[in-house]
Amino acid sequence: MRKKFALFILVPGLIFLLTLYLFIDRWVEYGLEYAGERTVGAKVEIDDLVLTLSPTGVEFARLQIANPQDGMKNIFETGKVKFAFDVGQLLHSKFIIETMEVNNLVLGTKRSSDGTLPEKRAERMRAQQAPAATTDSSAAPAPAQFMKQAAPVLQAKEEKKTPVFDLDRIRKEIKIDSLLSVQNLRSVQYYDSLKTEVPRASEQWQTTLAEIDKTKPKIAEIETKIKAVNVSEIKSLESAQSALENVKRVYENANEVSKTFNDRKSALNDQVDRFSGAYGEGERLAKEDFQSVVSLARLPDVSMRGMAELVLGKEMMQNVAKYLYWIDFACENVPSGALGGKTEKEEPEHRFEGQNIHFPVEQVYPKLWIKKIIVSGGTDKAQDPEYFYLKGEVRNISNDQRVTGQPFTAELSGTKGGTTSLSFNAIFDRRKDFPVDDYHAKLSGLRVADMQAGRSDFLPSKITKAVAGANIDVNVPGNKFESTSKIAFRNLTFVFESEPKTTVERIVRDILASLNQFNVTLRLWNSGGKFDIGFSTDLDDQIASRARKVIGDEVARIQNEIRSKVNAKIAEKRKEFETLFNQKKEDVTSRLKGHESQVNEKLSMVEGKKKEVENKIEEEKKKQTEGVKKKAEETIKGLFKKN
Amino acid sequence: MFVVKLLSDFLNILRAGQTPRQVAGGFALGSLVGLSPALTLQGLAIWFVILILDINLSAAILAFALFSLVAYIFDPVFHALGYFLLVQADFLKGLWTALYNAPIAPLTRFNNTVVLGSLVGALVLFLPIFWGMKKLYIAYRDHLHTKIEQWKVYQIISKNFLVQWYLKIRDWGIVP
Repeated sequence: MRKKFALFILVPGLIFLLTLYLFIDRWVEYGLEYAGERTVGAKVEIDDLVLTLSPTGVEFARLQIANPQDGMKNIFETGKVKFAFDVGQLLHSKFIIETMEVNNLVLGTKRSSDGTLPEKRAERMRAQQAPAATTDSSAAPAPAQFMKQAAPVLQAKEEKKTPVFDLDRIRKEIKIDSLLSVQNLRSVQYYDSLKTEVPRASEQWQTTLAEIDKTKPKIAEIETKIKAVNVSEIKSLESAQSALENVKRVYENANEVSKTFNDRKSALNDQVDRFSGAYGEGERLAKEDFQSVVSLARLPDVSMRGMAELVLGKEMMQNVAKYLYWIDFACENVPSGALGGKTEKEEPEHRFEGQNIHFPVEQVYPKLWIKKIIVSGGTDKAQDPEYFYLKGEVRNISNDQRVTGQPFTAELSGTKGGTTSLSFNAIFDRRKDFPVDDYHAKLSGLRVADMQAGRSDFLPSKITKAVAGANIDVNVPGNKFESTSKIAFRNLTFVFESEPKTTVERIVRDILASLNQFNVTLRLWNSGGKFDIGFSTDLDDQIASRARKVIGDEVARIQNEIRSKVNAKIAEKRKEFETLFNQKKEDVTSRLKGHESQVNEKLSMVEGKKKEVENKIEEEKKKQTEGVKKKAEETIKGLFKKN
Repeated sequence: MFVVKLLSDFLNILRAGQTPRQVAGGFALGSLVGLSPALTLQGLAIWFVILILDINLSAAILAFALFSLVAYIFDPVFHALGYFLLVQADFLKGLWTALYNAPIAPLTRFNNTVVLGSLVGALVLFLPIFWGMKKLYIAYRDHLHTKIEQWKVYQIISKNFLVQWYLKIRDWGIVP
């Protein structure tokens, strides 16, 4: 044994152990605070941390985590926190905690000092986090930054223009006559084009009529031929049959003339009817013209959709941005972990650094696993009515859920001032390739004392008294996002900061002033990387109903004026077309009628002659039969006489 | 400077008034640590043994420095040896599995092929190095010491500032 060993080893060893004993609590405290600040991005303060040997663990008197979005508030603070490590796993450098006790957990407490990190420190931490994030991204898909995705949509909502809806101004500024130019009225253009088409069509009709006129000699010939057949001059059956043949030929000719005429008449009528049918299209265009002129006049939509969003949207959109921040935070900071099952033979990381060979383990543990955190909100008596005191359980916080096989869950409930209650259930599942986060929060009886409503340019106001309740469901599978929040305001009072400047403001203000309650549904989702926000409320219906009563008549009057002027303008053009068309149509119709009567007259003449000839043939046949009969009788009589 | 210090150390070791067993023991234990690739639990334990036992510390440091330099050359051999023991020697699998599940053993990084190979290699070489060093030391003391002391190089090195400083420290009794 070395003689100077005590001096050389033991004394420095003892000094080292003494230093460790005196400072290790502070070092661990600092280490935890530093790690927390790196994660949260704001100050994390632990008070009076003590390492305990039996059980081997840690306890501290207070934990404060500052809100990175508001440095003068904490996200939460706790009372005494106590936990013990599994010693066996600690020797494997694994931090396994069966149960952590968190007492007096309070949300949103005010801070006595600013919790924002000094810029230099924050920058250093960001720089340290950046490469870590890059390394992590190889293990799991990069989390979607919903706040970033939603920013343009929220910005658009913020910048949405207030509708100008001042009837006096509309009345003064609207110049209906200037809106009735030909360029704006398609029906007028349509009738004008018809007016130019009618003479062109009429020329074609005249050509067809001229073709019809060409059949007149044929008709005259038919007349001559039919008159030439004189039935009284027919004396024999043979001559009667010959006459019938002639009449039949003339009849065929007459039928042919009639058919040709009917075909041409039908085609002509079709062409004329096309113009008659144009009235339907003209009516349709006239309706469109009315809508178009109304739109050019910029008459407001009496439904007044979106008014409620203008009044309530700003505050809600700001809250949306806040809660998207925390959803992003959870996506980025609940670790995905790597696959637990490592292969028996791994490739060496670098040359000559050897190869780590892994053997079967009795139970696999992750590096960190807090199996259960029991949260208590403290005693009712000690509670400050200004804050939420939470109680419940948080389970399975680990750095690798694939190893634990358990998702990180939180079931918390809380009360504030004995009247407001909150329940929060969340599950952060990182066991599969794509992370899935699910949240459900329910809030009831929340007293709203100072909520900004309206905008600086539209009904600036405040909700000074209300009781709100909310049901919020959020589902974040991978990079997708779907959230529905139903918020109900009851027993509310609005205070308006200025007098209404426009009719719309007056209407909305009247509604809000008389309002006692309303409901809002806010839906946020992203599809195909595009973020969208849907905002609906029963306030819109109430505002629309009142708007219809107040301004509906005036808008209707302006609309009627526009309608009558549009109609008059169209009617004028329509009349011009109608006169021209009717004139041409009349000409065609009268000529067709004349021709038709001629054709029909000749046809009936031929049919009559044919009938006459057929009758004559019958008569001649009868005569012949009687002659033969008489002759036969005489012959028989002669025979008897001879005998 | 480092080379001068190393030579000076070596000569001082040989010149120091300790028994051959102390010098050879220090050298052999130093070789054990020097052949290990990185800071391991067993490495710390060996250093602790070196500090406790009354052996030549200079010899241990010298051996650590020398074997650390040459260990890189033998790393492929150590890797092959470690791989054989950890993966191919089936009869040892039970032992490794038990150690792998034991609380402190993983801190030795025994499951790394180079760590295990170099440890086993160093243990195998421990006795030959010990006996070799012992023989060398006796031979030096009996035959070469007076001759070397007359070398100019020796005189230059022994008068070196660092060497003088080292001798002063050593003479306080802290370092043997």
